[in-house]
Amino acid sequence: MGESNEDIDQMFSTLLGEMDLLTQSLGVDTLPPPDPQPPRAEFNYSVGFKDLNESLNALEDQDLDALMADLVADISEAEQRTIQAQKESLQNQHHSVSVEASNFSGAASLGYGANVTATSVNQYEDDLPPPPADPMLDLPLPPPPPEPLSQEEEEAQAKADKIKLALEKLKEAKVKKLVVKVHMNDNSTKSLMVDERQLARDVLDNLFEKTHCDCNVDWCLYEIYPELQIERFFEDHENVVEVLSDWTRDTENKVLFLEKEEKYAVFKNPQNFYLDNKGKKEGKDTNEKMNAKNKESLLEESFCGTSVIVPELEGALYLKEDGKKSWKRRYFLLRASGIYYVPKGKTKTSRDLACFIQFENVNIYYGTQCKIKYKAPTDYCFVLKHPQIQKESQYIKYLCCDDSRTLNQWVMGIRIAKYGKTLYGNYQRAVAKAGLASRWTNLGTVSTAPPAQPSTGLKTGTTQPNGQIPQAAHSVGAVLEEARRHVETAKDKKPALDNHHDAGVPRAHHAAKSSLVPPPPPVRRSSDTSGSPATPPKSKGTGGIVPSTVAKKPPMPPKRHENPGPPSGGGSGEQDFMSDLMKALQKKRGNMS
Amino acid sequence: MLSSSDFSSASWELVVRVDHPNEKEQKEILLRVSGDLHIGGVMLKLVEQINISQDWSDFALWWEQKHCWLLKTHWTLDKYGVQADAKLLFTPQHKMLRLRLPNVKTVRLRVSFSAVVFKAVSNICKTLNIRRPEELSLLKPSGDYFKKKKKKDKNNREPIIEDILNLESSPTISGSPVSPGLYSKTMTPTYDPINGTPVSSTMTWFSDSPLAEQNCNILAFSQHPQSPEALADMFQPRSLVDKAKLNAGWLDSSRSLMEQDIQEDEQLLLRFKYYTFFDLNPKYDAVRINQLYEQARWAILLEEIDCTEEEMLIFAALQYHISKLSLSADIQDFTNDSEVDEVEAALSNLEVTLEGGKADSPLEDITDIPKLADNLKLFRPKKLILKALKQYWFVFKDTSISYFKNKELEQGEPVEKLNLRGCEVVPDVNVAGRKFGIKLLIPVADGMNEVNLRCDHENQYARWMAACILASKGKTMADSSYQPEVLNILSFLRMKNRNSEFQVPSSLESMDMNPECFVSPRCAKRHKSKQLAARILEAHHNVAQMPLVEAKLRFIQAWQSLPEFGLTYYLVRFKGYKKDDILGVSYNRLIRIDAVTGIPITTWRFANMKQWNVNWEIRQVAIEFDQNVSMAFTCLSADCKVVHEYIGGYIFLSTRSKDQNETLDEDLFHKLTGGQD
Repeated sequence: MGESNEDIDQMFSTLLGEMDLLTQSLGVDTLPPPDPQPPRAEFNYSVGFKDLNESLNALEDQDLDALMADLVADISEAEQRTIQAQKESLQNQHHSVSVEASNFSGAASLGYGANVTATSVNQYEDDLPPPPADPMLDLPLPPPPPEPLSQEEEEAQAKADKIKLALEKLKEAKVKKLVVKVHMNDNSTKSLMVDERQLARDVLDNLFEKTHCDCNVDWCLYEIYPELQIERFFEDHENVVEVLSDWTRDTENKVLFLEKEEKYAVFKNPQNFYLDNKGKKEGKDTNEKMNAKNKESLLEESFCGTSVIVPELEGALYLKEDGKKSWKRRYFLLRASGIYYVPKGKTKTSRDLACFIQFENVNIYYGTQCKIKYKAPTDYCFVLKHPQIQKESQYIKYLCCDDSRTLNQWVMGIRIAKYGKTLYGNYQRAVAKAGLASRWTNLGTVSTAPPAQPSTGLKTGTTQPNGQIPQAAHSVGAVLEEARRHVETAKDKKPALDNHHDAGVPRAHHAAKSSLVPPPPPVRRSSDTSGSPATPPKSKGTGGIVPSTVAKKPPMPPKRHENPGPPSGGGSGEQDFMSDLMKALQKKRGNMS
Repeated sequence: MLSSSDFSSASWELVVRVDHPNEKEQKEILLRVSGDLHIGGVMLKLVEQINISQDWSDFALWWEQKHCWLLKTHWTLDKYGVQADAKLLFTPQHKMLRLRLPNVKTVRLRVSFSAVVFKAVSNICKTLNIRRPEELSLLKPSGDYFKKKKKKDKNNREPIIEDILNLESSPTISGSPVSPGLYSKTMTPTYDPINGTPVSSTMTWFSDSPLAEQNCNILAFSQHPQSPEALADMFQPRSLVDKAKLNAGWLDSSRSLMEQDIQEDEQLLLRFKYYTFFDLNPKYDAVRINQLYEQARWAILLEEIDCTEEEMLIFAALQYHISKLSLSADIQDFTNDSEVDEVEAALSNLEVTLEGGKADSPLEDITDIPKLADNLKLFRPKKLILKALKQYWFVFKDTSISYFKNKELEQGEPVEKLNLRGCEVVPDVNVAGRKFGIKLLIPVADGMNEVNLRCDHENQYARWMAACILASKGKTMADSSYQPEVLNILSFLRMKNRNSEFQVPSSLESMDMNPECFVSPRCAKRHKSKQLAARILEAHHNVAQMPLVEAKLRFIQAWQSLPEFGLTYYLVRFKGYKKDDILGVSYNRLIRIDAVTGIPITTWRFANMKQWNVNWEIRQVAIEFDQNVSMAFTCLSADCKVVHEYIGGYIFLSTRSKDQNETLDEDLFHKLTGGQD
């Protein structure tokens, strides 16, 4: 299928590829905090993208209408006419949009012609860790044309496929992107383009590629609320844009990229969380060290059973009273279903416990310097609040522990109760990533995390931690193997998707996705398997090696100006490309009717 | 020939009683045997002498004084030590047994009385289609267990016999009329009637199971909830010491039923004994999951395991959900399934059209997000105007609610627009009082915005409530789960209605449910029925979309997450102590617990265990752990073999590998749990 509209699809993909290149280079190029960066708030909503998106929304709906109409077109002649009308209006709209779109892309990358070959474009697609998807590209999705040679059944099948594809595209078209300024631990910052489907894991992978860090599991995205004096790490399965969307526009909040050993402490030393205080006979000293085998079996017991075991945790904590700066000492217990406390005059038996908070709607944060700000008894505070609350409020709960050990136990315990197996999955992925990174840097390639995998993580993450259907648990040892397989499948998956609209391109080329921004030309693909360290992992270094396509990178500065502002000033060179596209589209429509 | 042996000096007379299946009386038969005759020969002679032609193949000799079977047919009488004073019984090895399953149903089936219990349980599980039989065992209840139960039966209209599912005879005898249900024997997926997801669970893991399909359903479907009275009757709060007594009754897995004085047709409990459930798979484990769910359910209802109120409500919500799904699956089977659906669809269609909303047919514009618009009353607690409900024109679109002074102003600026994404939705309902409130806690940057909506009637409430719930999860009313959610809420309201006079005739109404059946009597006592219903409803929102099997698994998992899960208690005396303590045996650890206060004193993990020994002379179990930690105890509430087997059993279970095809290593089990003789 898809032969008749191959040319269009190629053009789509070309444009798509360029947009990706643009996006990519944007991130890389703003690497040293550049002057032309507009003096905005800490993180910018990239207005350009947003407005465009919004302006396109209405049209997309109609595009879909047309699609639906097309589905039932065969049924009645009368309907046929309305479709025609719709199509006409659609075309009109396409014109107006294409102007907008071309304006944008024109502004973004002047001088990019349609002469970029389709093959390299597909590599671009694969290169970007998130599926690229720029709104306007998906827009002019044509109603499925009749296949000249095929049977009716095949036609129907093709149509169904196209509709599916169209729906996918439509979904992609609504993707929101943010430019996020990430603070590095050397006080520099990096600006990243984050699309709304990206998880913290993807963003971390992105950052790994942009920095020369060792990719170990402790690296995390960290959000800081200076106003509330709270902070926490993003869980790897969390959707970054979703979290950032809760911030107010004038926020002082920051995103940091740093190492925190607390992030996965439980998986490195499970005994500190699971065996602490349990048996008095086994003193703390004996618990500190545990051999790897025992650790593994403890982890397996705790995380790989039908349900995750939440560490038994109880003890007296200080609770800040609502709206006051006084702290009350209460006896708290952690259970899988929430935090409980022992009411006055009651015992610790389960049915007497009073529920303090359940975890569905709150995130856990570390409180910093609560001693000064809230007169906390110690500085070891943790805070529970709904992610959307951004200012001081009685709905934010502050708890204070006696020492940092207890604090870490509580924070980790709550995370285990809240996220369950997802947390372990995150860790395994992080380990795989770190392992791969150290393994593969020798080969000069850094793999991008397969987007498919993390998204399943998200899915399970939204369910209750204890409510998960048991999955086959991976032992840590097998993770590396697993990860390698993921990379393989990711390679396979992508092309499969592409095939929908791009049957002409040989599949083999997709495999060369491992290097980042500038895609190696198809010939050099073999290096991937042969293991020659031809492609350095960092995008910067490749500039010289890769011919033709990368040579086009230099005209960068203009788009940096354009990006935050509304799209304006169309590049005439691009216009040609777009009109080619429109012509092809119309030709296709002609075939249809 | 007979005469020659008569006069041989080594021959003597052996008395054998014969259990005759067709006659009540046992017949005594005199045999002339010699010590070198093997058992097979004895039986042959016996059958000849009885001279009744029938299948004697299941019969074997039982030696009453020694309390053992003479099963090795090539052994001679001398080798067994059988002499003239021996009283032998020639009796069938398989006898009927009544088994009370975890779901409190009793089945009657033929069980081997000669095989060791481990083996017998394996076969029972095979019959019942339960995989992983090593996790189950038979429990002989203490004397008063069934007395309590009988009282309850008197309240019930049916005699006990009616309750028993006879698996031995033709399955059509069984009391309850059933029909092929959700699970089909062939691998074709059937569809869950509520949400249309395929339920591909196939019952028959063991293809040669004699279990008829309809019986499978009894085992695989959850039972209708007990009435609160019956529950209260069964309920008895137990102390740790009481619980310890209950656990003494586990049968010895390495001896046969007959050897443990189990009588024919006696009632035993079949239970999951070891709390590690290996590889629960909805595909094969329909019965296993259901029985596990039932065991968990009863443990919680009867407070065999403690939980907090919040947890109790989650359990209640899941139970409600499960029983509703099971029931609607039943109904679907009895009536023409389209009938119910049509009625429901027509009903909801009518509702929607009456309210002027849009019915969403699939061919309609899929991008058109349905909206709700209506007059509702609003009140905000923060405002000083006390309890003033003010009417506004509300429009629910996408995931937000806007409200206007009146309908005419809808095109203008709303008074306020509330985005419900991420908000908390709390029902504030009193059906009898005709109060249908929705409390919204909407997180905003500087705290929570609390908004109370008040609807006029339940249909309106159901639609708005469902929309709020979906919106809080970021879904719109275009989502396919919207209509089911509306129906869900309506049916829940009807459940609550049962206590008041309102009776909405409905298929779901036949459910004998009220909120008290889902919580323990103690918890029910603490709440008013209406309060309870509202809180269950609240918890129900989080589970309302779950398919049946997933809900059961969720229940099991929540049960597993309870701190006291999997603890089996025994009253013991530790070596070197003067006081009795409770020993808690769990799948991964032993805990010494203070018998009076219930506070854990010491924990030993199996992972650190080096070896354990039993001194059968003084009935003492001694265990050594890493780092030279050791302990020893004698068991007071049960035989030390029971405790020993529990520990060994858990260690055996931890050796299971992930490999599905692995056959059970029965020898290893006996090696780990036996050792007495």
